[in-house]
Order: sequence, then C-alpha cells, then structure tokens
Amino acid sequence: MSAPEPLRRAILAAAICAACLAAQAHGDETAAAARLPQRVALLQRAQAELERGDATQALDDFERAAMMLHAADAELGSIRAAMQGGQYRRALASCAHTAGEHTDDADGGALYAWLLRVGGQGELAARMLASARANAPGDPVGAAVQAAFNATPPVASGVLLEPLHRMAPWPAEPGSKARPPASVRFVSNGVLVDDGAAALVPLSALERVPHARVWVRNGLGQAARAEVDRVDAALAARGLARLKLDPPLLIAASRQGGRTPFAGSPGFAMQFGDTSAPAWPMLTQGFLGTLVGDTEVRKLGFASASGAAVLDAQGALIGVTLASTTGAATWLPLPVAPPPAVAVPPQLPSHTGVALPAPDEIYESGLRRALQVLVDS
Amino acid sequence: MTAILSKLGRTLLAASLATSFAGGALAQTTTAPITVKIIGFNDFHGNLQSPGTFGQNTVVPAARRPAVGGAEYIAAYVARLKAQNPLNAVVGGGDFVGASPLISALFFDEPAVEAMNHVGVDFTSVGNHEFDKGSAELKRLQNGGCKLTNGSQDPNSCKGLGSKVPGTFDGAHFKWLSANVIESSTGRTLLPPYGIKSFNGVKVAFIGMTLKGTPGIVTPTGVAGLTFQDEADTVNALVPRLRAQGIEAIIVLVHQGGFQSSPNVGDINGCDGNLHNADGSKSDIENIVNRLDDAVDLVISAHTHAAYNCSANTVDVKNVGGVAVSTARPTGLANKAGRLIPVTSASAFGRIVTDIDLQLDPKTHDVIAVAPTNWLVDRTDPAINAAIAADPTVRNIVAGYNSLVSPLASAVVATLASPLPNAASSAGEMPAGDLIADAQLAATQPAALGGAQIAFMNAGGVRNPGFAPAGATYPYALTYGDAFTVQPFGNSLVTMTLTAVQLKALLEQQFSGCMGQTANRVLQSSNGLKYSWSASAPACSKVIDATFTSTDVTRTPPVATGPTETIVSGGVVLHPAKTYRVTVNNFMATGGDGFATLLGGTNVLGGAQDIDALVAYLAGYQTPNPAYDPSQPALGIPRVTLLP
Repeated sequence: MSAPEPLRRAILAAAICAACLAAQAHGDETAAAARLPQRVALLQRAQAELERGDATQALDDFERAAMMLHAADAELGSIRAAMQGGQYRRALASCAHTAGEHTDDADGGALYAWLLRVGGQGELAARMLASARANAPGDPVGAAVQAAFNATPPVASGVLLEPLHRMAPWPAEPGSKARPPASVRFVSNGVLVDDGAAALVPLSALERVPHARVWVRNGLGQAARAEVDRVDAALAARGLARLKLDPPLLIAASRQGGRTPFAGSPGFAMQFGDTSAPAWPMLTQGFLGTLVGDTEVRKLGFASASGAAVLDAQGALIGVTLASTTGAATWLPLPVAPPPAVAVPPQLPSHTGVALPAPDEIYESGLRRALQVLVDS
Repeated sequence: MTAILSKLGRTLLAASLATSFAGGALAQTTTAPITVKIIGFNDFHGNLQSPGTFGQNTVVPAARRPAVGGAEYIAAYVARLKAQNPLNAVVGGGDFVGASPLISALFFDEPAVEAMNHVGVDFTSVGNHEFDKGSAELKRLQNGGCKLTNGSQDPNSCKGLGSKVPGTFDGAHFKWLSANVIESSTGRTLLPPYGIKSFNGVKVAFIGMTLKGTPGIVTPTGVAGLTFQDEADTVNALVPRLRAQGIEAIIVLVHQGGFQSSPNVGDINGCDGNLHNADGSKSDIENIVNRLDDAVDLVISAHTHAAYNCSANTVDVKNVGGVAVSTARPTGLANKAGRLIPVTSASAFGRIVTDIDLQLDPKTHDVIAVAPTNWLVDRTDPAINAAIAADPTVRNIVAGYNSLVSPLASAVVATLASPLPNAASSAGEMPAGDLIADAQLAATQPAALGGAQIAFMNAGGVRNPGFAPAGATYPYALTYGDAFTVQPFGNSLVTMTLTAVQLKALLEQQFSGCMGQTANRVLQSSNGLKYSWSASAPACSKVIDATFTSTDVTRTPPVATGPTETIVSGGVVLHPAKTYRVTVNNFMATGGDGFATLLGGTNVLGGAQDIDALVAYLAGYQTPNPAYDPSQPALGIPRVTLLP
C-alpha cells in the first residue's frame, strides 16, 4: 500500500493478469482473457475506483468486465465493490456463486467464508473455508483466513489487506482531512446516532487518552473526525460519551423498529476487531434479556464488546452495549431515531412476511451504524 | 423450418429476418398460424432472493437500475406471460442449482427446485453445475426424496416448504434434459434427451444439453461414469428421430453461450458483435450453432451469464450523450445451412426472462416466425407486486427458507422433559397450550407490563406439531426454530380487564352455539385458573365451576401467591363485579375465533410479541436449570376438567 503510485499500478496490473492466469477452471478462459485488452483495462480502472472508495463506479465497471468474460477476477471485484457500497446481501449472493464456480483457487471461497463469518454464520463459514482450502491446498489466502478466524472478530492483516485478496473496505475518503492518519489505534467500538452527526462511545475508552484526537470509521471505510460534544450526565452515568462528527456520516435509509424489544426478542450486535485498519464489523446474535434491577439497562443475552450497536430483528438501531462490570453483557436502549435527513436509498427491499430475522439483512443495516473509534495520541 | 425457408433464400433473410418469417407464413399457410409463447431463463443458481440491481443496458445510470429477480418475482413474471397465451412452455438453460446462495445451498438446493416447480418450469437443460454433487444427487433432485448423510436423513433435507407435504421433497416437477450426457454403464443418456409439448396438435421438441466441456470445469467425482458428447452432433443425430415423430419445430436448450462484444453497452436485447469473441474469433455458441441441422428453429443458450438476443428483435444500442439510442437490426447466428437462427440468453440469477413468441404452421408443423424479447424481472413493477400480494405462495416459501438459514433457528431456548404436543385432551387442553398460556401470563404479569392474572391462548394458534418435533428424544433441547414453528404468526399480547361475568361469558363462548360461536374452541388457560365444563349441558351453560389461584409464573417453578377463590360455582358467578386482568393475543382481542366477549374488555394495554414471551419464559428451563416437565405439580396441570 505504501509503494510509489507507478510501481503500485504495475504491481496491480501484474496481479490482475496473474489472477486472470489463475482462472484455469474454464478451459480457455486464460487465453480468452489475454485476448481482451479492453477488459484488462476496465478491470484496472474498476480496481482504481474501488481503492479510492467509488463503489458505484467500480461496481459498474467490474460488471461490464463480467459481461465480456465469465471469470473470477471481475466477480471478486464486483463483490468487493458491493461491500464497499454497503450491499452485503448482494455481495454474499454473488460470492456464493463465485465460490462454487471458481474452485481452482481459494480466493472466492475464502472471501465467501469471511463474509459469512462477519455476517454471523460462523459455523457455515468454517465449513466453507475448509472446502475452499481442500480445493486449493497451500493457497496463502485460505491459510491467512484460517489464521484470522482464530480471533473473534477476525482481523484482516498481511495478505488479506492486499488489493486482490482484501477482506476489508478501502478507506472511502483518501486525502481528505477526515481520513485518520496511519498512526491511529483502535480503542473501542461506537455507534452512529443523530442522523449520522454524532456517535456514542464508551467513556472509558476516551478517558484513557484524554488529549488524543479522535476519529470514527464505519464498516464502509468512511471516516470522520470526532470531538466530545458535551458531557451528558445521564450518558456518563452509563459509561458513554457523545461525539460530534465532522463531517457527518451517512446513515442508510432507516429501518424503523417493528416493535419494542422485549425480553426474549431476537437481538443483534455489530462490533469490530482490534485493528486500526478499515474493517468489516462482525455480527453476533441471540436474545435480549430482562431489565437489570430497576434501571433502564438490560441484559444482552449474548456476548459482545462494549460500544457495539444493538439492532433489533428489523435491523433498526435500538441500543448500545455497555462496559461490563459483572461479566454479563448489558445494553442501554436508545430512543428510536427518526428517519435521517440525508438517507442512502436501500439497495434491496426488505424481505417481507412472517419469518425469523435474516442476519444478512441485519448486517447490511448495521454496516453504517457500527463504528471503529480510533485515536492518535 | 427447413422446407419453408429454403424457398425464401438468404438474400431476403439478410434484408429482414422478421419480414421473411412473416412472408413465409403468409405464403405457406392456409390456416392461421398457431402462436406459442416460450418463456426461458437460465443460470438461476438458486437465487431465491434478489441478486441486486440490473439495468436494461449500461447506459442506464447505476442509481436508476431497479432491483431485479427473486423467485416470487420470476414466478409472477412467468405467470403474467403465461396469462397472455395459454399455449406456452417454460424452459431453462441449465445451472438452476449449484453455486447457489445459502438459502438454497444449505438445503441441498431443494428450495431452488421447489421454487421452480411453483414457477411452472416444463423443461430445462442440465448445466455444468447440475453435476457439482454428482449424477446421483441430480437424479434425487429430479425424482425427489430426502438427502441421506451417513445413511440417515440429513437434518437440512426435506424441509419441504415448497413440496406437497412438509417434511418431504417432491423433486422437480419439470424435466431436466441431458441429450449429450451418457452414462458409461448403460450407454444411455443420464436423463431424457428431449421433451415434447403439443400445441393444438403441433408438437414442439426441446432438446437439452450441457456444454461438452463440463468435465473440465466440474470436480471429477461429479461427472464420474459419464461422458459428454459434442453438442451439435448430438442435436443433429436427434433430428431424424424427432422428425419420425412428426416433429418439425425443434428448440435447443444448451448450457453454452457467448458474449456481446464491441461496440457493447450490454443491452439485454442486443447482439453486439454477433457474439463473436472480442478478438473476432468464433465464440463457443457460434461454433455450435454453425454446425446445427437446419431443422433447429431456436437456440436458448446459457452459461456465460450474459444477456443477449440475436434474433428478429435484436436492437443495436448506442450511448449518445448519455442517452440510449436503439436501432433495429434483425439478425441471428448462421446454422450449417447458413440460415440465421435466433439465439438468446437471459443473463443469470433470475434477473431476466426471455419472452419468445413462436408461430407454428398448423399444416407443416414447422416454425414460421420467432420473436424473442428479454425482459428485466423488475421488482418495482406495481402490477407484479400486486400479483405477488394476491398469491404469496412463492414469497412465503422464500421467507420460510430464509428463516431456516438464521443461526437463531438452531439456538436452544429450553430443555423439555417430555413431548408437549398440540393434541388436545378430551377436555380440550393441550400440553403445548398450557406452556404458551403460562409464557404469555409471565410476559404480562409484572404491574408495569399489564398486571395480568390470567392468560388465554386460542387453540388454533398452537401450530403443529406443538413442542414435539418429529424424531425428538427426551430430554429434548428445544430450539428457537422449533418454538417459531409453533408460534409463527407474530401476534402481540394484549392485556385487558374483564369482570367475573365477562370471564364466565368468555369461557361459555368457547363452545358451539353460545353467543354466535360456531364450533368448540377450547382456550388454553394459564396456571392458576381451573374450571370444569359439561359436555351435555346446553350452550351458554356448560361452565360448572371455575377457581382462580394467584400464581407468580415469572418464577421457576411457579409459586402460588394467594388463596384459591371461586369464580363460578354450580354455573353461577359468585362475585359478578369482581375484575381480573386477562391477557390474550391481538387476534383474540379483536374478536378472533368468535370471542366477541373480549371486545368488551377495558383498560387495554399492548404488550410483547408472543414468540418473545415464549422464549423469555423458557429461559427458566434452560440448562443448567431443570427441564420443563408438565407433570411437575407447580404447573397445576390439568387445568380443564370435562364433566359428563
């Protein structure tokens, strides 16, 4: 990532060609790819767009490349572009195909396993990864994902942050002042609130670094500078601080909670692993618990780090997890947010009908709500 | 079509394929042509849910491309097209299964097959992905039956949400065709080589094939014992056999395809570059069509996931200043005789359906015109959405499987010591109903949540099989999925005040003939309420005795917290004005199941959802706590007594 631009481009072009060359499963695919300089150029352009956070244009160009040749490189690019744009369900469905279609290398299967894992399908992710590694034993990407899966949440590093194997979003605003410097470190999870203009974070995370500059970054790699907005006694009593964001971060078109969460309601939490790099958060799930004594704080019923966004079965933000004092996870319900003033239209309609909550929908809803809290001190 | 078009000549064809087809029809027929609608799509890959947005072409800005696909939308579009012409066939180009999303893959692609059954597919070719799990598994998908793992039924098989009977798998109602796939052991095709449909006495044959290169792109075990023959040779060898049956209309469904090449905006009805490869060489599909017998009238292709329409309806589309400008350019791919054959493909994942109007000569039985159009399976179409709302069958199947994918479905919510079926005793009491009523009381018993004293659950809302899953052994770890099966409606709880008179009236209204009740509908009542009813007593006089013991069901096990009081004795309400806080679900609260008495409740308060209340209550019976045992005295079962 730190190589000079011309060199980096050359590496990327070579990597793309290597990716094309690796796609041996479709008989004459390699030869066909070599005969398609327009396609190679399109892939390079799409990759550059993706790396500067232009998910829409990148997705368009990757899909145009896919219209020229049915190969894994364009599909993997379009999957990552969909993720960059917050379209988890689209990415997941596409990746299921890529993993099943292009079994000659582990990239498709490894990415699918990663997406399953962060989306709350840990058991299936493990099976998928095992299958991908069996198809391509010795593949370094598969091995790296396996190693990363030892942590919860998994953290992408090394080869898993390289452009063509990346298991994370790209920084969406390179060069802007909102982009955190390389020296930042992850201190906590946070939750985007107030139409994207503010964040709630664990107070203890900031108290440890009282003079630090603070940034937050969502699951799409979009970052904002953050400053403590005001001291809210009620929040502070619950161990939370409110941060004002500059610029505000966009919230997806709101999902209104279907009903007030009750003990026994399905609940979900989104949290990041311990990394200062852009990352996709991980979904955990279970059932919400009862009130803690006479307070408004409630038991969570499943494990989650503090500062994580708590979502209901409709994917609506309903609260934030609190730092544990007893070992049992708890959360603080938040007022139901009104629809945001600036909304990103939903990419896919919500599934309707009476059904168990679908974790893919929940995850997609939470990608913009869950925040990494980063400090530079 | 050979006889007809050989008389027309290629010059006319080159000038206008559509005109020549029409001219041929007029010249050769003395009776009106038969119009048949062929509806095709390919490479569905188990995408029961929308794969995302898709545009008519790349000129359409990404932000304006509609969400497309989804099994219920495919079904609705196909239904709409079928309604336009009762003479129709629905066909596929292969890869209906395999490399599919979790919602289908987790259940061995049975959901995809069931969805396609409801779409009404007639025939599809096999594709390479039909062989991902081997020919035996493909035959199981065709013929039905449950997937066996280590000799036993796999728990993820035979969910049967789209099959005739829950817990079974019908198999495909459509026919997979594999004309070029030969079983080495028998020398016969693995599956039928072709299918035939007859329209007003004219037969149309559909030959189905996968690409001959399938063994190179499928795991060896998947194609073990099979040989894959040349596509064009296979078709050409079948032509005489079909003609011997009086068939002149021949359609090829082949899992092989091409791509539009430069200039290319990817219009779904374009044929840029006539499907040549980008370097000008012939594409795989061209190489096949170029060698096809002249008897073949239409090729529905697949595999590349590309959309194209090389036919009389082809349009050239250019991007002129951000606007798509279309020009008609009738075309096709040349067959062995040099005649241009219509060749179509409908992208993948259910994004597009191909709508093909085929005109048949009733005298010669040959095809005289082919007019294909690719349509987006646009999820924003109001009429389509209305159609889905009117018939949500496929949507419900998709929603059902989506539920089963949820990891929460397998989360253990309690341990049961014994089965709790929804079978009622002679008095009308269900073991499952007792549990649900107690859960609803527990959820509304705290003063802030309603202060309920009694809860009633309507028997019809206790769904099969109760808390007694088939094959369960006890103690049984009850899952959220099990619980959801019993309480799937998403009803919310309502707590209200009833007088003792209203309570008696409610109990009387359980029985047929009382206050408009049309059948015996014995309510499931919560711990603390006991009553007896007489089967022989007249309507509205059946409840003989009723007592109430205040019981704290938020504790495990429940604890009586007050003396037993008599509400009804010998059919008489002792304290008519005394009130009770009673919880029911919102269905009953609005008079559902004929319980109009509940409309008279006062101080009504809404509460939790029924399934949440159940999960919260069952938390008291999770390991390491003792299992829920209906025989424990604290549960006060039985609660209803039948008298002669």
